Amino acid sequence: MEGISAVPKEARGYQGRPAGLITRAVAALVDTIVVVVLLLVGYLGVNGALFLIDPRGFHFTEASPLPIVTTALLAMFLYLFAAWSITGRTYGCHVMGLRVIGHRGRRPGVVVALLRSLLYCLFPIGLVLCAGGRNHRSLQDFMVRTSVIYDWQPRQFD
Amino acid sequence: MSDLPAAEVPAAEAPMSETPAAEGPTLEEPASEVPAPGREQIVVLDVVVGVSALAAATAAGVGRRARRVVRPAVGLMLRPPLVPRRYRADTLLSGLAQYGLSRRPELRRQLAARLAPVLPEIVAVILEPLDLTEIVKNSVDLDEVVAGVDLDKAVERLDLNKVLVRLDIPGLAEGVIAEVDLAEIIRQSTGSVASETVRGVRMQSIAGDEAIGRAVGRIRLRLGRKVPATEP
Repeated sequence: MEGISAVPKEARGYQGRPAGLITRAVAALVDTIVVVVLLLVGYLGVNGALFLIDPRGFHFTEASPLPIVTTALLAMFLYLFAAWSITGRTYGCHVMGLRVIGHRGRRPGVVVALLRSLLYCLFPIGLVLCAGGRNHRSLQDFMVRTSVIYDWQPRQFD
Repeated sequence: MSDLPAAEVPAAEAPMSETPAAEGPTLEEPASEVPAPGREQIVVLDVVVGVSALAAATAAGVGRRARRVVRPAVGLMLRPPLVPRRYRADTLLSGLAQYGLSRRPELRRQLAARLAPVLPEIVAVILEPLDLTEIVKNSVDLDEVVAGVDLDKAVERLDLNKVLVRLDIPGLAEGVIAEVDLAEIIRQSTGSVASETVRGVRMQSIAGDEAIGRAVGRIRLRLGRKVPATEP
């Protein structure tokens, strides 16, 4: 007789198994939207502060593409690093019921999270490699020895 | 003596020394020279029973004849004419019988008190060779006995706390909750549109993952087959 589980019956068979491309891509899309929203909020915040300082001389700041991309990548890096090193999950992972684990099955360490975040920011297409294989590992997973599994349990820390 | 009842005398059996041969006599000892001790004892017992029955039947017949002859004389002795009733022998005998009847309970009690110390031993010796369990099983209708038991009263005497201590209550509760799927009931009663949507998206994504995994597996299989064909 199985014990009590908060996971729906139809999902219990997948709990703990490596996640595939579609789920991870949707999670990545959600994370991207989160970072974009954060950047927009930051942009509006900065311009709001400038308006408060000098209402008469205010105009929206404009920047060339390079600083924008750099800022976006930096924001993405910090967001991924903080999420993976603290909880092993980004907001996108929470929504899609995923969790990143290290080679010992636990939350990735600080160094691993840092490297993983850097690799994803610089080479996001490496995610496509997780479409095949028994363990559904991306290029970044192979390099830092991590995995992404289905985890519908809502707990925060392991 | 010609009127004596013809007692049934069993036909003469074969002498006891001639016992029927056992199946497959061994080379060591022919079966006819080793009669089974149990069977011999039973035959002796049958002879004794037969003699006793014959003697009892003969005695009964003699008694009936003698009673017919003796009855008038006995009646005269017990109830002699011209003797007042209170001095007659049958009156005395009736009085003695009444006295014996009144004393019977006291005598029974005294006999029971005397036998009480040795009775358990006697009963134990008698019961030792018996398999009481088989006797009860074969002779007693246990369903009828149980039907007569007041189970409500038996349950009233039970200490339910001691019964509950023996049960794995947490395990039982877990099993019930798992079977009932309480988590699903809570989800359905408290879930929002957003949570249902997320659940649906997750399951659809998992299905997509599996479909892509199968497709990639097929492609790899085909590529694996093609490679040997292209080699020189």
